[in-house]
Amino acid sequence: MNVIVLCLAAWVGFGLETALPPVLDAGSGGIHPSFIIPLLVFVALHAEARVAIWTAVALGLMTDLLIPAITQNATAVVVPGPHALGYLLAAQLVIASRGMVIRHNPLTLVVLSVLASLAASISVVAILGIRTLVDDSVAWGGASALASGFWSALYTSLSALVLSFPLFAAAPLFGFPHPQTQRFSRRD
Amino acid sequence: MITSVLPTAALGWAGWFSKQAWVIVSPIAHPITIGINAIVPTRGEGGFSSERERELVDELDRVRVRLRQSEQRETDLEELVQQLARGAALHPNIEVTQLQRPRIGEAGDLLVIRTGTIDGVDVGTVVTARSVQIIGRVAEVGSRTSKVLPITARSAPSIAGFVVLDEQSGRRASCLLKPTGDGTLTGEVSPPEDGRADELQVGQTVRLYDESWDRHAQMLVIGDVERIEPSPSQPLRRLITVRPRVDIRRVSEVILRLPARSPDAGGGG
Repeated sequence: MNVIVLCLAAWVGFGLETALPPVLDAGSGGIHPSFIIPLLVFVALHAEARVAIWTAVALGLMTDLLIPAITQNATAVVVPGPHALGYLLAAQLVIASRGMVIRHNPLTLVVLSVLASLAASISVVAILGIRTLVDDSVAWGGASALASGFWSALYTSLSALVLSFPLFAAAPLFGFPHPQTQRFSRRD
Repeated sequence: MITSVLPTAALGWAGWFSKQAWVIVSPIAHPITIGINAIVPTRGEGGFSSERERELVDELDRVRVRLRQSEQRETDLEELVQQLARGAALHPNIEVTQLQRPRIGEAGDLLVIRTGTIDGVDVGTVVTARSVQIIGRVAEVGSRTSKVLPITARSAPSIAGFVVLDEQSGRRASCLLKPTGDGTLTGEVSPPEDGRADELQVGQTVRLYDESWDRHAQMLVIGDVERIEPSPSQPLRRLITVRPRVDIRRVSEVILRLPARSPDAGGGG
């Protein structure tokens, strides 16, 4: 896979992820589509499993670094890990199901993006919940985070649909291995 | 997995990586934010027939803040006189330097702005829009980017203020507002000293009066009363919903209120 193209796509994705939420936020309640999850699903659908998993960890870690948590005394703290693990599980979900779906159909990307976003949200909430048991200095509400995660996952279907066109158009640039090569490969 | 459950005190090192991540993302996030602001108009930015009208309204707001601060200073000075008589002193008045900087994007609940320690910004620096509308306080600061926790963010702490019942006489009713997460704040209003709360009306201005905020930020505008309803816990009290005058998450530029350094303070930058 072409790492440079992936980095470029992720760079644009993170730009959209940090610039668009105030405009796309439904009811100003923190419900907004993800632009990284569709990219992650796209990579997990087409790349080798090992590459997809490391991509998920990298994208998740970057999300953790970009979105700090708020402490009880109104300061920010970066917690590396929750999104990295959440995205890892999301990628694993896509890898497990990619043999049963039509990879080159935009609707596949839409449906799997919703499921992956949901899996990532639940994982992040679970990890932060465990963290709260150890250290409760972060101002965080599990129920509201889970609710906004659920609606954001549904909302991600729209961003996935929009992104599916440029992503599928740019698929040759990513340099994914041919599906047939993968089928008979020992590494997948 | 280990870093996910590390205590907050042990995660200071991660801040450096976060700042580097923002150095990478800022060059793409900022142009997109500028483009979006140009395409989608923001609430509170429009409604003026000309730029001159907007400047005049802003100037009027600034004068009102100065008036309220003068009134408050008068009250404080009376207290100072009393305290000096008892041998104690209040904090001195602090001059403020205002610094206008663009918003780059959003990081969860936080707004990311293009400024940092290079401009003398520190954690807790008060951030406003259009001079008098409070946006929030700086929660994390890097050398060139800072993150601001808006007063309307779900994870923001409660904020104390008062409703200006009568602009002429300065009658006020205090309130403690909690962010709801939908861009508004809500809280119960304590009736004024004479007990009359019937003057409470939609559209009245709510100003900051919170000891946990910097002295120079007192009397700045939190927002306007949008809704009034009876308090479910105390029927004699009113529950108000306050909406800031600007869409806090959509402001294109913010103003940082930096306390001016005293001439004898050392250091450069």
